[in-house]
Amino acid sequence: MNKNKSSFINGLLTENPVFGLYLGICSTLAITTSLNNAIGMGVAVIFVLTFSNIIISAMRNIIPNEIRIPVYIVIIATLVTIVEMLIHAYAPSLYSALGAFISLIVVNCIILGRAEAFASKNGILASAMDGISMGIGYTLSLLVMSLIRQILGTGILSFSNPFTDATIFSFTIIPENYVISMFKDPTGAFLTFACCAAALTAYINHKKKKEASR
Amino acid sequence: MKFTFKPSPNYRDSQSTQSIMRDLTIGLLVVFAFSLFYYVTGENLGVNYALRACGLLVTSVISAVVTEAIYFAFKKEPIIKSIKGSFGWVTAIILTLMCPINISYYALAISTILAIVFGKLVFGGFGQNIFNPAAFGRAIIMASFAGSVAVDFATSATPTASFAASGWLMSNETFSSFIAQFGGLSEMFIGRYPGAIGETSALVILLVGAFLVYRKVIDWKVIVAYLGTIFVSTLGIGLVNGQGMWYPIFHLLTGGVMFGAVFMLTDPVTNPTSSAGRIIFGIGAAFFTVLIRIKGNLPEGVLYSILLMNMLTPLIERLTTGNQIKIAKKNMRNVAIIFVACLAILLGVSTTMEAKEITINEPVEEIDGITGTAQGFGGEVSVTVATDENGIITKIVAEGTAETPNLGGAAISTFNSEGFAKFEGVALAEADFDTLDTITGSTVTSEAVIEALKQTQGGQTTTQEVTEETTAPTTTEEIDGIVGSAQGFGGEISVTVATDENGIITKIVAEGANETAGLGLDAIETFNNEGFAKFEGVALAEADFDTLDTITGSTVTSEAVIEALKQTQGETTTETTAPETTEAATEENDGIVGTAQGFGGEITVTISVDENGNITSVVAEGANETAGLGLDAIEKFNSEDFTEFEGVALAEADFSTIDTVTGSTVTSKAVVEAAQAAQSAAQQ
Amino acid sequence: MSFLTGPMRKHLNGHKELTNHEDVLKVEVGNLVKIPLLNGNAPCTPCVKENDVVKVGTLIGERNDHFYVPLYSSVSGKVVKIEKLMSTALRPVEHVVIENDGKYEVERPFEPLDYESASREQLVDFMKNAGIVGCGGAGFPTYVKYLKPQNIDLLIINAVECEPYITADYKLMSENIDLLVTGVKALFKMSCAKECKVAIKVTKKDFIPVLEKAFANAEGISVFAVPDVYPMGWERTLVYEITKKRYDKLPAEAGCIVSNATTAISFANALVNGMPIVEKMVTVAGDGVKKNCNVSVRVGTSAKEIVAALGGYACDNVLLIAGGPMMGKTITTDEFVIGTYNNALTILKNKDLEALKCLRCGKCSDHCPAGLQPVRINNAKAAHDLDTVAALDAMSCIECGMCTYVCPSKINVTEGIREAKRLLALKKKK
Repeated sequence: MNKNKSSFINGLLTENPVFGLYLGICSTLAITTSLNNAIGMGVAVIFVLTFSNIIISAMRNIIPNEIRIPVYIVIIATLVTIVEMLIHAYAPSLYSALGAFISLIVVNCIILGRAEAFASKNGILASAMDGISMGIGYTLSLLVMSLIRQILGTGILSFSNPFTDATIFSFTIIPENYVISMFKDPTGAFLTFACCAAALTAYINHKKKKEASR
Repeated sequence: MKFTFKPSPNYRDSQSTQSIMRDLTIGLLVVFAFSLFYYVTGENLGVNYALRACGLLVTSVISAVVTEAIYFAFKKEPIIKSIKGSFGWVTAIILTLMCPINISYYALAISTILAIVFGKLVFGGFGQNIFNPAAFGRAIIMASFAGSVAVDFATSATPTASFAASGWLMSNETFSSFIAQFGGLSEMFIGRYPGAIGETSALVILLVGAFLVYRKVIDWKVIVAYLGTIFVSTLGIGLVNGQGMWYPIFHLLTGGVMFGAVFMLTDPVTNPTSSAGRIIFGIGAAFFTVLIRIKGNLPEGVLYSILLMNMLTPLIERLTTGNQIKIAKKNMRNVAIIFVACLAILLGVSTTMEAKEITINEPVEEIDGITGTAQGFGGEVSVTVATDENGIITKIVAEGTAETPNLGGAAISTFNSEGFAKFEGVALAEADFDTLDTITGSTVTSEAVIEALKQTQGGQTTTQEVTEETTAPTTTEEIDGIVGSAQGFGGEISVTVATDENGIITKIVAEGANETAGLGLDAIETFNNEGFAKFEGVALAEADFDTLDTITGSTVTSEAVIEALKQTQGETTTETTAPETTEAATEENDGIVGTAQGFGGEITVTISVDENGNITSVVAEGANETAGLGLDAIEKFNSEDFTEFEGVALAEADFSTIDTVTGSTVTSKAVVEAAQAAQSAAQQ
Repeated sequence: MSFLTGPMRKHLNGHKELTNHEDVLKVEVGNLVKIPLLNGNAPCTPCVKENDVVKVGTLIGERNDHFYVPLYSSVSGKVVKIEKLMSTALRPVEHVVIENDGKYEVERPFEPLDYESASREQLVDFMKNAGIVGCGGAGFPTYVKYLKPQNIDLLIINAVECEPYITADYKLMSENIDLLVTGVKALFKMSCAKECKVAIKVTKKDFIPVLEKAFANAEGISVFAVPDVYPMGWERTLVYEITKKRYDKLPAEAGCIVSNATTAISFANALVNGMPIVEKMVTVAGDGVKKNCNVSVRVGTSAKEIVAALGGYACDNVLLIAGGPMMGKTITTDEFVIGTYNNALTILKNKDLEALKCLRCGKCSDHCPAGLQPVRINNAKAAHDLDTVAALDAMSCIECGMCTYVCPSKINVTEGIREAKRLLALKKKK
């Protein structure tokens, strides 16, 4: 249980899929322009990741090794299609904001990567926990990036209910004339990503040094 | 007696890195001094401009030095010594000289900080950066702060932008009148024309460059390779396209070519270390500069050519690895191949160049009349309306010298020649200037003209700043009147309708602070400026607010405004979230009511019948349905589907024939249910 | 093609005026004379043992590997011991320590030879036996160069003396013009060259006419003025300057033989007077010693004695350099001695020099006379990329010091290349 717990926490921080393992970067860079998008995408990925991990782990002994990748993809694609339809029906503005990136969750390296590296070799519960933790790690990194990018790029921190489009909160933190609109673009995305990845690496190195000096 | 061991050699030249940087700084400040002189003595400029230039320089230098101080403090290195060895102020001065005079202090400070951090410190500090940090900073400004300009310091359009608008080709005669605007090629050489703060004077830059080459601070080979390749290639392009000898000279004098050649391409940290490498570097940079200019979407290619070649420097170094004497022949061959290839590509591409018509901003007729001004795209736009003794418009003349020649300037010319014609003979007070046909691609200029025209009507001066990008949220006028509100996209929208004692609308003002900047907010502003105008003078009770032109992309906001307006007609203020449409102006309907559960809440349908039991009207209401989906469906039913039932006997009406609206299945079904409920209630 | 490369040379302030016109001081050697058993980097075996009596000219040591170099005593007296002492090669080497009896009795090891009547082979043998070594600083056995000259068009007599501070060659030449002429003519004969040029800096305006007059009647020998730049005296640069040819390993590939002017004079001294190299003209200069001038000393005189004769050191912390400031090495003791091919002591006040970061200006690459790219060699070495270091031809570096001289960040670039060379050598050994 302890192992599960530590690997769960690892998935959030030191083995954060985006900043630590550098997986799923393209969706991170593309959609983190607002908090809404980040949370929406994050929830979608958590859902897909957890369930794909569970299903693949449940079937791991009957999937022939030679065709395992196509099988994983079929499973993941099914889940993604379900998610896509749900989002389209219940949160249409989120659907139009995320656009093609919902479908691209199928090829998100995190999901296939974890399926290959973890779910195909571990039990259902462990895989589920791994899925959740990786998914939450992913969502947290999306949150961090979109917080930075939205505030710096538009000056406004806002969140609206994805189902009803009602604004839940909206603060103007930086007045309009002072926003750095580069952060809405891919340029800012890369810069923000680099800084976050560097910060995480600095933290990991710091921890390693502390452990080594003990 | 101590005999120290120090590996040979123990003899050093007097020139040090500090002396190199000091000479470079002095050279840059000389160029800056010239531009101060230009600002103080130039036409339409003045001491303010010079002071602003100094302020910008100081801002940038302080930002750079403070950023580095924080960095070194963080790394626990001795701060003063490290700052002295890091030469951040050189980056700051170069960046300032590359910016236009009207850049905002904030933009310059932020880009200096980002340039120092991401352009230099992240790579390891002085001597280790790949990209020229000043060029990096300038690119950040272009990406983020293109609209962030200080209004009071407008300058007219630069020759580069104007020439670029013509597709980098111009006939010899057109060119003579074009260049006359800036005082001819000689003034361009001296540098007394609008442009970036430090980039204009080829004369001063070349003199400073010669001095720096003499002092062995910069390498002449880069400058000669760069300018030489630009000259030869543009000469070829000019010949291919029938341009005169002025063509290559103009290319050399415009944009940041001279400045980039002397101060940026020669930066030792970011260019190759060997002589052969630097020559290839200069040729490559010239290639990209000319290519971006003639074929790219940007008016100026120098900045990005510098960054691109910085990126290719490691590759060039690899190409020139070896003992320079032994690979001399190979280097010569490579240089020749690269030079010829670049020339060939440029000449080939230049055959696809097309000249575009540009209208030169000619001086306009002077007439007497009422003047109105507004902020256009590049500067102030003014109109003069001449009227006769009866207040009838005889002529309108617009002027906007700072507008972009081919876009805003062309628009103004069109207005002057044709667009204003429709207002001639119309009474000034009655002229509806909103009907002026705006020209595509010159929205800002056109709207500025319209605003300026309106000023002449009411003698109002507004302080709105209009930029091509998003509009800043303006504070709306406070007026007394009837208030209506509705739920917009991001929050509540309220409108205040002021009427005179006869109930005639005098003014309408809408407000919606929580709408999206760039979309809903812009729409509200458009309504406030123009959209509501059509209702002025109309009786409130008769005003058909549905005819308000909704703005694309701000449907929800627009409809909320319409909804709020309609509320004022009913003299009630409600906080409902649904824009209701009703046939009659009154809210109260006598009739049979049926309800059903919709998507977000209850849906009621009220059916009115006449004494014969025939349906006179059917009205559905569903306040909690989703805007854009269920609400739209209800609207559709109310405006279209239910009309089919008018005149039909209630008992026989078959509401199930109503087509459900895609995406609003629940709502649609609920409406049918409610109608049927009303039907069955009536039959009891 | 030089627009594709840098100038590969630079005018240095040579400070020659410090010692050019000072009189030559004769410094007597003290009680103990130590003759280094060293030729270049090769050790020599002693031919004498303790308590042997020697005279000026007695054979005391030999180099006997693939080259033969005899070493002769410069004083008369008794051999005290064979002692290991610090040498100018920066490592301890065996020295023959002789107690000087002050009499300077001579025992000529060989008879003078008339070069005009002697055959070429005889001259070569004579040179070998006289122990004439290259006096330009390397100490290479000169006879080897003249063993089998093939297709030699040009003999170059190197009187350039490009190293700053040093004026020993100039002083020696100006006092021994006749010997110079004899030596040059003899070498000319030995080389079988078609032409001979005496290369001297163009700025020696007073001396060039003297030389020209001296060689006026010599057929085939002329004076060639070269620009006053460093490292004009380097073989490759000099050959290129005169013939515009480059060569791979030996100047013979370009049809040239190069010999130093002092070597020619020493050879002439052996031919005419039957004396090997027992005395040296040494330039002592720099702000670290109280008096700057040329001194004439016996081989085996220690630096300590020389400095004492000139009034001592000017401060407490000096760089004591055997040779000139560019290529000479700092020695950590002043007990080392002047050998047969040392001609300078440069003593400088030790000043702290702090290096900044490399700004990749490329001045080192522009000025390297060997055509190398020192900045890239240093960067590749720092990145442990030995393949690129080898591709950049680091082994061709002669450590002339030009790169360090021009570096504005005051980095010791040359030391970096030395390290790179050591790493490469280590890698090859594996």
